[in-house]
Order: sequence, then C-alpha cells, then structure tokens
Amino acid sequence: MTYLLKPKLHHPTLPANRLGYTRRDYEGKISTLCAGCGHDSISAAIIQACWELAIEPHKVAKLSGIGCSSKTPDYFLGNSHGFNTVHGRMPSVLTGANLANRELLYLGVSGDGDSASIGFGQFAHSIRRGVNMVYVVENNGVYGLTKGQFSATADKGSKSKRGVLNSEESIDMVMVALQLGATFVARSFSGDKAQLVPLIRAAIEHKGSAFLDVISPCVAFNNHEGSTRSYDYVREHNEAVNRIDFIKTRDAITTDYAPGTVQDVPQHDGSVLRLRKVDAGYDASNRVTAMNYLQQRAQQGEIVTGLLYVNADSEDLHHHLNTVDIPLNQLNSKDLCPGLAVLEKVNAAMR
Amino acid sequence: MLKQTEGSRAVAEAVALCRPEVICAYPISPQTHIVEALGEQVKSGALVNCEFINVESEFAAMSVAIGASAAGARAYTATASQGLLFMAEAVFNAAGLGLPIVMTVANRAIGAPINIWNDHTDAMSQRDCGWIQLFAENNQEALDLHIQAFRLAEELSVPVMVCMDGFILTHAYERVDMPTQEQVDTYLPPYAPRQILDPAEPVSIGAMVGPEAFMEVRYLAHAKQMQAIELIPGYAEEFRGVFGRDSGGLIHTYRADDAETIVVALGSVLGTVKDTVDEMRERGISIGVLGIACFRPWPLLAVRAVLAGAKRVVVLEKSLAVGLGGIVSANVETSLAANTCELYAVIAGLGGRPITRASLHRVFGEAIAGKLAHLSFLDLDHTIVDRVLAREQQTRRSGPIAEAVLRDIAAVSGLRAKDQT
Ligand SMILES: Cc1ncc(C[n+]2csc(CCOP(=O)(O)OP(=O)(O)O)c2C)c(N)n1
Ligand code: SF4
Ligand SMILES: [Mg+2]
Repeated sequence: MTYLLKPKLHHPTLPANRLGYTRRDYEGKISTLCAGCGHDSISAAIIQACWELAIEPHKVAKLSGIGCSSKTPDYFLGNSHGFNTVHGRMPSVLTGANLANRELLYLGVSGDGDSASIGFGQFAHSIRRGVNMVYVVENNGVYGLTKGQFSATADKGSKSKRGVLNSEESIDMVMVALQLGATFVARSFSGDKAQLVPLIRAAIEHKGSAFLDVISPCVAFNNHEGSTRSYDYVREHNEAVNRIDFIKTRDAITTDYAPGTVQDVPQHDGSVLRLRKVDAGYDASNRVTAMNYLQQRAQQGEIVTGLLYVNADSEDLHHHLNTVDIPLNQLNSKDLCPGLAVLEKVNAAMR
Repeated sequence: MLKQTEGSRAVAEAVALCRPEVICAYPISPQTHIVEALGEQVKSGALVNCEFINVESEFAAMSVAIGASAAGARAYTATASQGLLFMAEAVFNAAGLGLPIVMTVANRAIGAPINIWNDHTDAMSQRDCGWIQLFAENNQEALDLHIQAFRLAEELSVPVMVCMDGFILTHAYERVDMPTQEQVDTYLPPYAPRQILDPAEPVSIGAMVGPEAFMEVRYLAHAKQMQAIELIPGYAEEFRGVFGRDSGGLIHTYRADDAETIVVALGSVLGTVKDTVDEMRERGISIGVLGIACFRPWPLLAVRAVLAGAKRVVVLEKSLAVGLGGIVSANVETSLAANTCELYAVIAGLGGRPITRASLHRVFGEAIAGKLAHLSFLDLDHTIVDRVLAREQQTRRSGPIAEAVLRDIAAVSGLRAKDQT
C-alpha cells in the first residue's frame, strides 16, 4: 500500500469535463509499480475514459484481488469506493456488492493469476451470471507480485526470464468469457491507448458482464526475448479487428466511411456504438463466428484485439433475478413488509 | 558441509536430500523461495525421480499432494498465511486420511488487513486438525526438522507441518551444516506407505463414515499423535547419532533447571528471549526458557516437568485467540495441573511488530514484580486503540478499522511531533 498522495495542484488550463472535473480529479495515489509496467498505462486509460464520460467518482466501486494489477485501483479514481479483497475472490465480492447496490458502476480489476489461476472459478461464475460490471484483467502471463512465475494464461512454449519453457496449455480468458455468455468481450494492449480508452468507455456503458483482457507487459519478469507478453512481441503480433468510434446519437456523424467498413451497434440508452472495421469480414455481433475467428488467428500466433463481441440486447443478473429497481440496500422495512392487510389478502387468495 | 545460505534455500536443499517424488506448490511470500529452489533442482536434473507441479492455487497444491501421497509417492508442498487458509479443507482432509505429506509453513500473519510479515496466526489456525506441527528456532533446525518430519510422517502415516518464521528465518542468510545424501539416506528409509492405491490390490480411500464409526476414526488420529509424543524424542536422539547435533525433539530448555521464572515461546523469537534471559541472569535474576519444538502433539508431560518448580510462567506468543487471549498459554495451562504458579500470556509480534530485548526486559520485569496483567499485548499503542474505540462510541458509521488506524497513526504522530517542538 502506498501513502504517497499526489499534490492537488491543478494547472489552470487543464480542460474540465461536463461535471467540471479535470483529469487530475480522477487520479489516485502515486503508483509504486515498476517504471514501464503495462498496468500503469491501463490505470491512465481508465482515468481518461472516466474523465471523458464525466463519471461521478462517488458512483464508482473499484474492486480487486491481490497482485500488482490488483494494487492499481489505489492509483486511479482516488475519490471512488475501493475494496481490496483476497487473492482470486474479487468477482464474488463484486457480485455481492452489486446485488446489494445496483446503482454503482462496478469496476473489477484483476490479474491473470488472480483471475485465471486461483480465481478461475470466481471469474467464470461472475461472467455466466451476467453481473453488471466492467471486468478488466491486466494480463502479463506471470505472477508479477510474487516475482514472475508463469500464470495460467502464459502461452505454451513461451520462455520464462530464467529460460524455462512453459509446457502447459494456456487459458484464453477471452474465449472462456465468450463461451460463458459475457455480453461484451474485448481484448486490447496497454501500449495502445487509442484502442484501449474507447473500449473502456464502451464497456462502462454496457449493461451486463463486460470483460476486457488487456495485455499488459511485466517489464520486470516477462519482457524478454522468447516471451509472448513482451512489448515487442505484442506489437508485432497485434491484429486489431476494429476500432471504436464511440458516437452518441446527439453527435453529428461527420466522418465518411467506405461501405462495409463500419458496424453500428445500438446501445440501451439510445446511443450508437460505431465500430470502424479493420478486418472487413469481422462481425462483432456474432458469438460463434467470433470464437472461430479467434481460434484460427490464435493458431497462427496472432493476438486479436478490438471489440470482439457485443450483444446489443444484453441483460444482467438483476434482470435474471427480477429484483426491484431500488437498490436492495436502500429498501426500508415499509418496502419489505407490506403489512397485515396485504398478507391477509395473499392468504385469502390461496384458500 | 558448512555453508552460508538463505533459510529457504537451506530448507529446499534438505527437502531435496529427502528424495521427494512429487512437489506441488503455488507461490506466496515468504515461502516462494523454497519451492522455487526445488523447482530449479528438478528442472536442472539435480533432483531426480521427482515431479514438480506449478499448481493454480494452494487448494490444488494440497489436493495434488493428497493424490500423490495416496498413490504412494513421497509428497511435499509449502505455503504460508492466506495460502494455508485457502487450502484448509484439504489440510483437514490430508490429516483425516492419514497421508504422510510434509509441508513447510513460512509463518505469516493472516488478513484482513493484509500483511505479509511474520506471526504464527496461520499455523495456529490449523492446530487441531490432526497435523503434527514442529516449530524451528533457527535455520539449522528448520532444515533438520524437515528430515525428521518425513521420518515421523511416514512411520505414523500422519502429515507433518514444519513451521519456520517468515522472513526472519526464510530470508535470513545464516551458516548451516548441510547433511550429506548418505547421512539422510541412513536416517530416512525409502517411503513404505501404510496405505496405497495399488492396482494389484485395489482399495478405496475416502469412505463416508457415519455416527457408528466416526468417533473411532477421530480417536485414532489422536492416538497417532500420542504415539508421536513417544517417538519424537527417540527420533531426535537418533538424529544426533547420524548428524552429530541436537535438533528437534519435543521441547528445548535453557537455564530453566532452577529458574523461578520460566519464559515459554516457540520459533525464532527464542533467540532474543535467550539473550534477554542471559542479561537478566547476569543481574542475578532467576529466569530460564522453555522452547516448544513440537506444538502438536502438545508435549503435556514434558512441559509439566519443566514448569514444576517455577513460581511464574510467562508465555510469549505470536498469535491471538480473539475473544480469549493466548493460544500457546491456553495449552501451557493444561500442563500446569496442580501447579499454582502465576501464568502470564503476552501476545507479541503480530503482523511482524518487532520484539525487542528492551521490551522483553520490561515485560519480564513486570511479571517478576507481580505487576503484569495476566493477558497483555507487547508494545500495543493504547493511544491509537482508544481513539478508534472512542470514535466508535460517537459515530455509528465509524468506517473501516484498518484504514482508521493508519489515519490515526499519521494524525497522532503529527500531534506528538508538535508536542515536542
Ligand atoms: C491465497 C493466496 N495465495 C497466494 C498469494 C500470493 N500471491 C499474491 S499476488 C499473486 C499472483 C498475482 O498474479 P496476477 O494476478 O497475475 O497479478 P500481477 O502481479 O501479475 O499483476 C500471488 C500468487 C496470495 N496473496 N494469496
Ligand atoms: S513486477 Fe511486473 S507486474 Fe509487477 S509492477 Fe513490476 S512490471 Fe508490473
Ligand atoms: Mg499477472
């Protein structure tokens, strides 16, 4: 834990968002991660996305497990709610919090060890329940915090810093999330801010389980020759299928697109998610073709990034459970106990 | 052979000399160096006939060890803190099944609040499940205890936990006498399981047992531990014969024979306690030490015999039974029987709080003067605690406790700094 608070000096020319907040208002404490760690770039992207969307910081709950990645919520959104759970249990704690108060924006931040190794079960079940959340895995293929052992997402055949080859199959969390019914699935790279920030924005706006796998190199333990999570390797093998141009209905569409190069995905709130296609044949609204495509590309050693799947008609856990719109933690005894007269009526109906 | 090495590496070498066949682990500080060193040995071919499995969690680690042990392999794992808790169900399972797994626990505090430093809360949380628990005083003993642990575990078909203080021992570079392979082979025979999954002679393991037999099975686990009490001193004796030094056993005493005050402790803090006792002896104070090397089974009679002549007993322990007080002291009490000496439980060093000689002098002095409370907390900051308690009286929504304490420490230290100017 760090106690280094950033000085609250704002440059007067810093632009403010709709709420009057500058980007600095979305920052947290000073990061204690290694200089160059991918995780810090993801924190910066989260800050940028929340600032752009003018999210009210007190309406956000950041939850994480244990790991370098799970430490990062300390380094962004310093004015939001935070909960550091134990190793691998973030998804379950998040589920509970979400059930009790559906009004907050739930931001789950985790690592590949936290979510694909020890917390794989929790990850899987939170996704299949459709918990309304943004679930970010900062994926470096190793346990950074415990000094670089392979995690369950490390590619088979990739080489550790000590020169050992990984002999086990890797878990592709994107494939798992797709299979388990996540309604928003994306992959990005910590070094590609232009792609990452709009993806985080879109995930925040999405209703349901939004899963984001962000490749995030560990400069201390997994950034060498032979690693498949190094900056160099990911830059070389990154195949973006699309880019998000996030467009609200009230914005005028000014750019012209060649036919067949955009895919519009209408959102719950009436806005439109406009995807600029890099791969003309890619259809982000089809789960099955997305899975096929990903498998084929993975076989060729490519890391496919972009918004891989989105379901415009998504539903969330509260919908499945048919809970009331008022957050459960705000229901009072009057709401919960309709009184004797109503009980009599209910009983009478059964006689 | 004498060598200067890190505690974790010393233990890893000793475990390798015991010819383990399956090692499964998940990294967690401060244990990680031990299994990393073993993993290297397997990869490099220095440790032969051994599989090293990087499992995905501690729960898997203990479960894999259970399977390996049941299939007839000598199985080893290591963990600490949250890891031990996460595997707890399997820890009970291994004990209930009577599988002779050896596990190192690099003792560390348990969260929340998360804390990576040393105390004994992790091991104490599993004290009653049926594992033998040995506590090392220094790195030499830590490595020696592992060799004895395999012997003991396999003779009785009971799992054994070797506890060594996280960081204080695991990360300390000390001189150790590393045994030879011949010595270890002389002392530790090849694993001859009492139960084994053998295709030639099929059995099934893990039967459902109802009220008609459950008591008996649990009693037998207890009976095994009682047998361990008988065996352990002999194994330590035999160890001296082969390796030429004292290590292990049930208890260690130091200047305790005629002592009016006896300090009871376990683990690495015994070093500081002995230094303090030496200084007090120089001042003519009659004080000695009882170190508990084997915490489970509890060496009831051995402890009783040492404490028989004491006027007062001070138990210094790095764990807290919340809502009761001392854990070790509650065990010591069972040994006192008709002995009516004063018993003081001193909770110390939680979450890595340093235990200094100055504080020990003070607390032992207070005990001797009859001024010590029967339950006390060494170097507890009462100002901070009182602030938190007072706030809870005033405000319903008093907020998360750990964060409040951290804030108060900053605030109080600011106040103190101002007081001084
Ligand atoms: C139950 C438990 N086991 C082990 C640990 C030790 N531990 C802390 S973080 C971590 C792995 C973190 O890896 P990852 O989630 O990928 O995060 P990174 O540091 O790579 O960002 C481990 C094994 C723990 N804290 N709790
Ligand atoms: S160890 Fe790796 S993951 Fe952790 S802060 Fe350093 S670079 Fe990042
Ligand atoms: Mg990782």
